[in-house]
Amino acid sequence: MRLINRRKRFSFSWLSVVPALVLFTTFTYLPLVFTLTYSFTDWNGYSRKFNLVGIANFINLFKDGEVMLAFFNTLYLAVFCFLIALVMQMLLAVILFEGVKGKSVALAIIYLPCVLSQMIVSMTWLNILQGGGILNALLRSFGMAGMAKDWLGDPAIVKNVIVFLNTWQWTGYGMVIIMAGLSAIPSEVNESATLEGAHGFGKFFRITLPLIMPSLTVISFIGITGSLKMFDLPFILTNGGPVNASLTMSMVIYNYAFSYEKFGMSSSIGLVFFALIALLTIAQLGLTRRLEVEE
Amino acid sequence: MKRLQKTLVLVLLALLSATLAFATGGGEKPAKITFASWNGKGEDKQFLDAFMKQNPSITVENEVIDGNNWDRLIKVRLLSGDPPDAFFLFATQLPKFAKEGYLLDISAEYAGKAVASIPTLKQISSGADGKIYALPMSVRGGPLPVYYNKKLFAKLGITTLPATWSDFYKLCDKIKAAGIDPLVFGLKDPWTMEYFFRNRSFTGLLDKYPDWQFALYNGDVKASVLLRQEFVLARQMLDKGYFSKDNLTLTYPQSLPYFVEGKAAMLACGPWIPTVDEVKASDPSKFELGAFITPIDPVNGKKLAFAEVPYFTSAAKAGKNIAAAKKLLNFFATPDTQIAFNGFWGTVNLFDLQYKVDPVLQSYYDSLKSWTMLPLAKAVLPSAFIYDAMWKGFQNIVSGSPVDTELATLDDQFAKLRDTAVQTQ
Repeated sequence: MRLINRRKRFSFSWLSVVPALVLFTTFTYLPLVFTLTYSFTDWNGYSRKFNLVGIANFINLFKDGEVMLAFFNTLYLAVFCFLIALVMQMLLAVILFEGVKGKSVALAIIYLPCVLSQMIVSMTWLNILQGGGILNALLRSFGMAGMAKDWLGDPAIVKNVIVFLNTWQWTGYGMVIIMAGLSAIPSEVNESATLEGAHGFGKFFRITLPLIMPSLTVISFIGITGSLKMFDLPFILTNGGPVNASLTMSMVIYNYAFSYEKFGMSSSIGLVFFALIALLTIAQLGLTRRLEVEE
Repeated sequence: MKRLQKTLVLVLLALLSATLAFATGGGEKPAKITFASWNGKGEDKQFLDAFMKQNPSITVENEVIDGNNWDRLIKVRLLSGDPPDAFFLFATQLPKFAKEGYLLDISAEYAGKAVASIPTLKQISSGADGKIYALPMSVRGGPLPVYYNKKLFAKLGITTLPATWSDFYKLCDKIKAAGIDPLVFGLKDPWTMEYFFRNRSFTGLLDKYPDWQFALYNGDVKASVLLRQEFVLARQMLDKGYFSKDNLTLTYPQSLPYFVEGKAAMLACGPWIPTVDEVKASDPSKFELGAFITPIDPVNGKKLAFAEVPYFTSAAKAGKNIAAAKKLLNFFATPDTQIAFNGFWGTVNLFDLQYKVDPVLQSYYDSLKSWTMLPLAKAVLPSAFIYDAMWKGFQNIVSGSPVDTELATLDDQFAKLRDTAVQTQ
């Protein structure tokens, strides 16, 4: 009887999971298999025929100046977005967790950008940052015309502007996760640490930080993968310009597939980039997991 | 007797059904087709309504697809087997879609149309197999009109329009001295600047390379040679302050109120500007639209320009109702529709059709007659080269990139994309 029940439960479990598995396989793994296939071809994205080209696409992508430039741009954006956001998230989480006046309002304001669609965020900031936009108009009206800049048209600063906007949008997200981690630390641990004489930065780095490492593992994973895959913000704000200064790997993949009509090459770039992201995140998970401690 | 009555009733019923069927089924079966274009303000409605009035059994649903991503989006629709029944098509798209079998062969329908009498048009409407796959909506060529605000010009004491390029610079200097931007380009949509400079006809190089697209394709000339003078002029005009670098963040739609509101004195654009909402809704006490031809100096005494079909109308082979789609194409090809279409858009059409040019463009149209139009026919360059590489080149020049760097990039991009160009002859 017990065996029959177990078998029934087992079958039911599988039945419950199969639809989701089918959807996941169809829309995630199957496209990956197709991408792998196309990466060895010269398919243009609309023809019914294509030829096999071996590993030519993989070799050529490393010789392509546009791909390499996009790679370094993406790395720059990812590193600074991640680091600056992480510092901001921890700072804000600790400050708000300690309890300040207007904490709920502050939380809501900081978290609000996360729930806005990327399109709306990009279009809004485009109006603010363009040469004749709100920001420059305000600066000029307050007698600070010297500070008015070509925020989106200057290759020297456009990446930093994107870092700022990305950080602004996602700081609330990580902050909330860290606050959850902070609230999970038992109060006895903090009390014991205080009794032992730990306080300030010492207490934070030796006690608090290791205990919230699981939260940081999650934030790091999401932050690194998210900023490496960045597409919407630079696409709408600058379309990769000026002079390809804000061109990202996702945009290059898109350009090769849909503008240059080189779907095969686009697939190979996508696969190599996927492998890179996978390696980075495995390394990151390994590092942060090692730093986690049990209470 | 009862059996006879029953038989009579049955016969009567059958006769009645047949009569009803004849009455309702004698006409065409209702059909529904989709027509896709990038005109998002209902500009196509009047033509589609006129078609539906002539063909009451056909309903046409107007589908708007983003013009900036037209090539990409139409490709996906064709590939997925769910195309619009009829749609506009760029010249760069025609040969490749025809080659892949996505477009309907309309050779038979084309034969009876006025456009068939123009051999070059027939050629550029064909695929590599010689069959006709699209109907040209208009033919354009020559320097662009430069629009200006007559009221503003009067206020600045400008009474003479420029006849030479040097006159044009002097005009810009005078406007700039008054604290107004002489020109505006919606450079976030970089076609606005590329369109202006490309229609300068490469400063006389057409004498040597009359079919510049084929010359590029065939390796007779490099992209950097064709575009050098245009990039240099773009940088020169920026350095002289004839337009602002801030234009980089203005879209084409944003440039229209910028011009109409008097922040810029001139706007160089296609012949449809008299029809835009911003112009129609402008305050007549402050704004009156005028236009003159871009004053390009002849080279070796010649005024050569290339003529091109900006876009065609075509039908999908995989469309749901081929017969209805063909009817729509035929409707677009009739002289009456062509006259109405080009009149509505203020298009300066080089077809041999008598239609009313917008009064603002009359002097521009008259000036065009002194230009010799050379058809582009032997090759079609990839969309990504014309619509991305050339566009970005101008954008980057304005961003501060050196001219030589952008010219070198253009050559690299062309080398990358050359295998997607199509030779049509």
